[in-house]
Amino acid sequence: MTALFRPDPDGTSSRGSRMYGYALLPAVLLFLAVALFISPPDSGPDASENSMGELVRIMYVHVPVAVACYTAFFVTAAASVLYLVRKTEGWDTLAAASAEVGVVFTVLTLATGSIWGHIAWGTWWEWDPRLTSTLLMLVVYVGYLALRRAVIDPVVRAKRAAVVGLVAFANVPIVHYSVDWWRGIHQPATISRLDPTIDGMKLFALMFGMIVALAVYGWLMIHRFRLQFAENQLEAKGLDLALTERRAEASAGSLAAPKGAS
Amino acid sequence: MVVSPDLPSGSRPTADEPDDRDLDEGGLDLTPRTSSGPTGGRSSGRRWGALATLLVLAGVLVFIVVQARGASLYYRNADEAVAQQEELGQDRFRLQGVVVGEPVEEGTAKVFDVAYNGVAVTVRHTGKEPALFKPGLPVVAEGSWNAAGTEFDSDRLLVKHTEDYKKADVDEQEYEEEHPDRVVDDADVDESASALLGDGSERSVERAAS
Repeated sequence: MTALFRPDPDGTSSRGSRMYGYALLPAVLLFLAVALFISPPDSGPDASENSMGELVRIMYVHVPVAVACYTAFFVTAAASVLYLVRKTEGWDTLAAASAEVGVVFTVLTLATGSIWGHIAWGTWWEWDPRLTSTLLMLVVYVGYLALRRAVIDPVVRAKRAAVVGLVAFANVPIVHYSVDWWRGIHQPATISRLDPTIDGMKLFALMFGMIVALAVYGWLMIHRFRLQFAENQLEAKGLDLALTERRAEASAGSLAAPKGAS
Repeated sequence: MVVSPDLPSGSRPTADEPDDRDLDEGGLDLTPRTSSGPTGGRSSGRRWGALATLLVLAGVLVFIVVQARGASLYYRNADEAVAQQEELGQDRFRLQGVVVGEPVEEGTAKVFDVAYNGVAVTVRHTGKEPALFKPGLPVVAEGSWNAAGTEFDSDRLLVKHTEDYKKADVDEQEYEEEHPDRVVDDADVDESASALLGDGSERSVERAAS
């Protein structure tokens, strides 16, 4: 069982993660088939009042990547709390890895939303509450990643990053509820409500997309976490090497000293 | 480098025990070096790069906040635009409402009515229109009241599509129950809104068949 999850010495994959990847690939392809071909366009006798036609298909990617970015930042916040409580490196590593993957999903959310908005709304970008708060979320988490690079000491870095990782999450519910709290061009929620306003194959494609996006997040996290872990080890090894060098210099100096003026 | 050759050899670290003595007790000087060795230069560069990124991000945050000042009142609904017409004057603002009736081409302009909470406003739009523009969907028009205060002159039109992806309601009663704000009935139309419709008559605004 442990062999299944033991990473290869020369990479970030393990037998288990490879199996995960092999299962994920056909799932992604099947999802694309459902989203792009099998699910019906929003037109004809069953069309919604929006009658989006083929454009509706972008929703099956846009909403799932948004859900994945919320999840990623939630994991960062939870791992940050656990780091502050337990002070173990693993939680800091998890928080950092999830923030980075979350930033990728946020960029995808903004990009797919922008394409959708260009055609449906008639604009690439609007300073509306949902779009603005999402951009703010992206900038804050890029800042979180920059902060991690700005602080060299691993313990100080982990502590500061944990605080920022926790505080930054306060914006996530604001992003989600911005469509209800303020007026904007963005539509209100379709599925995260008691009476979802979507059904049939459209609902199936959307839910399938969310499962696939979360599975992709999980797969990316395995590799990013292991990479971050390896980076931490390298950093610690670098510190050990520097200490060894200093010791070598010190002992060389102590041997040479009796011969000197002192 | 601090070296203490006078220390008794017994207190010196062995190969198995790290030297954890304080500096003034003859321990190892672990003060970070200022010289730029290959490792020191890289981490210092990384740090300055990250600090510069943080500075840029702070600037971006300020820019976003400045841009988003009006985000909380992104638009005024048709009924509010009518109620606040005097104070708005010819100021530029965004107007929201559902397109009711068929839009009419008048020269280069497209003229249509938008309604909200039983109040309708005539919009005269000049410019591009989004692909989804059609009767029955909410729109946000950007512009101002015309000089006479009878129409809203718009030069930017956005479609605010809804969250409803179910089959469109064909039953009128069901539609009215689900979208009470969109229903514009003769009896409900505000008198001032009727006046704004141009011809002075009690022109009725009916829900467009979606």
